Amino acid sequence: MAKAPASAAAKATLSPVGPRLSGPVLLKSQKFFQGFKTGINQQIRQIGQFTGFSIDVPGRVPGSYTRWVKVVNAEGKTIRLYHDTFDKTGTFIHRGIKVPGPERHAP
Amino acid sequence: MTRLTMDAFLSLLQRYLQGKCDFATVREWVYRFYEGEECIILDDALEEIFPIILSYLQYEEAEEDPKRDKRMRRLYNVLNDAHALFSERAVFGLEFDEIRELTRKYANKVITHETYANKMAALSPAPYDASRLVRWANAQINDDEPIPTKLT
Repeated sequence: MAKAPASAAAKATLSPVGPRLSGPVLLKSQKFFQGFKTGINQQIRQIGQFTGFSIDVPGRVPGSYTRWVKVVNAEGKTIRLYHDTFDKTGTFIHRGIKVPGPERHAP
Repeated sequence: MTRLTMDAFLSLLQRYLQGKCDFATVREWVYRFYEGEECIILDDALEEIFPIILSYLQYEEAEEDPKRDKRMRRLYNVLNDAHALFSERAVFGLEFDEIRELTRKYANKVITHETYANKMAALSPAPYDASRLVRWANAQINDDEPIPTKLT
């Protein structure tokens, strides 16, 4: 099982976004992040014409975490929304997809 | 704008425990808030417990927790009719087996006080008062279920 593939892939292909977020995208990012009181490692990245937000939420087992990811277009419409769970060794164990449609993936 | 309340959460938990809805419904009800697609606000009690519930739900969804029903029954018991200490009650309800096991080990001198205190403080990544759990645990070390009237 690969360790933290989503994280490694993200770092390789995404570039950090500066402060230039359009109004709807900025609003969407604020709305997304504000709910996660225990979230860490909050990130906003440009993915071509889309913008991705992600935040890591510590898991029940110390060291484990779930990365919540939302990708929006320039109008702020959500085109991807999912969360990936990693165990305390950093091994990916589950993805839950909400947008484009509820799915469940586990290796 | 939608306002989620503890009463609504307890009602949903009760429906799940009575077999009137599946657990995915409970999970999605909580996740809706975190997905940030709607204007949702929480009442004060849910503000306290949602970070604890979220960490558990992520674990449960990924690991398929075999103790889920027992945890949900205990969670319902300790939160029903509660007026304070919601986060401590949520951790106590969800992690009662672990708390009891740790408390027994400490009472039998299998683990040190430092280990006991550290583990009691690491039952959830969300904030809660671990000393309150220690007090409750000592009072219920021989019980099979946490009884809400004892949690003061």
